[in-house]
Amino acid sequence: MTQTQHADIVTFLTQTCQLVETAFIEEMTDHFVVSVEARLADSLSFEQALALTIDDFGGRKNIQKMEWTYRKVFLKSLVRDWWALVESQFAKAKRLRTMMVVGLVTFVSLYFGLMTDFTGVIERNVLWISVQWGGVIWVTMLTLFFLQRIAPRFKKVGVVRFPTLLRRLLSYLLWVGALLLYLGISTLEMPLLLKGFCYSGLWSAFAVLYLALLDYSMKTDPDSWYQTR
Amino acid sequence: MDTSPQLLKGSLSAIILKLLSDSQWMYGYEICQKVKELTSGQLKITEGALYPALYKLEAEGILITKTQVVEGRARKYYSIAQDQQGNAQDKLAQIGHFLYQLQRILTPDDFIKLPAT
Repeated sequence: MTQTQHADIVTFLTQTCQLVETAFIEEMTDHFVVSVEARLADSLSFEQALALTIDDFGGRKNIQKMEWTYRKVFLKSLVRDWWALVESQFAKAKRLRTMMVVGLVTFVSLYFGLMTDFTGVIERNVLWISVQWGGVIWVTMLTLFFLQRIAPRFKKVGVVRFPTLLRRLLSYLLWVGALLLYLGISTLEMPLLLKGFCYSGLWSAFAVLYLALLDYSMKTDPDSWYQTR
Repeated sequence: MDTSPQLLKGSLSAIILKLLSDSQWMYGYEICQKVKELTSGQLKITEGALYPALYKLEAEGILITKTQVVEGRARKYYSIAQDQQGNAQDKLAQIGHFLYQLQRILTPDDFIKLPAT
């Protein structure tokens, strides 16, 4: 197969089908190349071989549908892998790190939660603004994610892939969830000891879940926050 | 005679598990070709049905994957997860049992004579 023919296959997948998920495109490209090469060996022209391979997949629409199946599976795998990493935070190799991070987070939360009027400050300061800006970033990414297939012109701004989108959403939801629960607990009338216990539980859980998410991001995609191609 | 896509769809996971239990690691195109080869072209798995089935088994944790670079391209291989070998065998046994029961219901007269291969 010539480089031009290989490029034609990639163009079909990325431009005609508007696929964006890297791992899925790589798998499809490999399948297309092997299938077309086998048909070229049977004396078919490249155009005929490509058309027959597209038919095997049920056409362009079906390939796009398969990308959504890939995403659904990715979501399930992410939840499963993330939970496995949450459990691994208590394994011997990571126990010291987990204890240090959880200890520090718990100490800070108890200090600010019980010793200062942190609730009064929290609504005005940078933490609350971070929730709003995090929301803006997340909504923008989600909009671009859905628009990139309908209006490919948006790809010039940047391509939003599902794995990246999910990691951002999980980071954001964890942060917002922890912050809202923190505010909720702080408004409850309860003994100081019980309140301290709730704060510790909340921020310890947050720290462990976040550590697992960081591990997941480092394991799966260490240097992609934003990709333009 | 063409096999009904519905019949094939229902048996797809069994076919995948059987092939993978025999061959360890396989990639999508290889699975399609193997089915064609084993059935002398009588059964043809379409790629549009195969990949969703592979992804579903992967999501259930039954299959694991690895990617290898072959001729400069990333190729994704599938295999049955080590801790799921028993589960896969159970699934195959279930399907075997179902086929046995089906054969008990259908008499030889019910079968349409298949063309000689």
